[in-house]
Amino acid sequence: MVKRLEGAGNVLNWVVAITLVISLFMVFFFAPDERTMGNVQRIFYFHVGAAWVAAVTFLIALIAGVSYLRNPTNNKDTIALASVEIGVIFTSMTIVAGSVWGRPAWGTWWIWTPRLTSITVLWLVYMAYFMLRGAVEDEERKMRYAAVYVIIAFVTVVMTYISIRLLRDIHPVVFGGVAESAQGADEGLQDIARGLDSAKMGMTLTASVITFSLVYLAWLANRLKLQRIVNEVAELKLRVMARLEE
Amino acid sequence: MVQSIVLLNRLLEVAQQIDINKYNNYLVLGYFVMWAIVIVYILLLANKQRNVREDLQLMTELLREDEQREEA
Repeated sequence: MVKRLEGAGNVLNWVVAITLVISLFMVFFFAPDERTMGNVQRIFYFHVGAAWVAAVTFLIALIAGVSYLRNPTNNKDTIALASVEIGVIFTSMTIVAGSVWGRPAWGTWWIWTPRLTSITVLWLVYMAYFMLRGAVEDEERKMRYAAVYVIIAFVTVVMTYISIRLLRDIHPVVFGGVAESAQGADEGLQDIARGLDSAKMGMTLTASVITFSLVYLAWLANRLKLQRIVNEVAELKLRVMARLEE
Repeated sequence: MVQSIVLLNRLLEVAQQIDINKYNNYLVLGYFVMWAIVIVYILLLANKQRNVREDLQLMTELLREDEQREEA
């Protein structure tokens, strides 16, 4: 499967380029204007798209981690590493885009609400994953520790998802309902979520989620290819060192 | 009386209409920063790939030279 994905890398790059253009066209020309926020609401499509695909990449990292612990192979570790790396990029995009949208919507760039706090924790926890990998020298131990870590770290994804559904927050709830105790999340600017009743808005959001999913697959294919070369170099380095020692 | 109510209603409607382009600078900033993150990541990957390829070439050459020396 990994080889097939690597092989599809070039095709995927082109597919991503085309879908990105379509998605951007839909965001700026197809989706209707939002009544209360105006054009700035168009940030929402990439913000939500990136957030959803980030959650999916972390889920794939978790699956790869579990699979590694059951049957350790380098490919599974590489899939987890690449997924976390891409997930962190998507999370960074989500946070930054949300902050820029928050300035006109909430009158502030940042506010420590449950959702914003939990996504910051998520970002920091997944950044620490790279530190863990950098701190352990033994390859097998590094991969094993990383697999365990990526499973535990997924708690932060669940925490971020449910935070606005269980606690009072000004962050809009786009999908699903909220608990009665968190009804504060259904006031004021939450009207944006209801705006999704517009079929065009829903279609644009779907297009951006599909686009980000394809971006993930394309980056994963390229990242796996790169990791294969890195492994080859590491192997050659060992051979060169062994020869020098002779 | 009716005329003044209609006029008041019209005034309220106008007041409620917002300028949809009011926050366009934030829209531009948002997309600019998102693309900047993507471009930086792609450049980092490209840079890493170039370095790794150079390493691969160097290692292959070193091994070939060593093998040739041994044969000689």
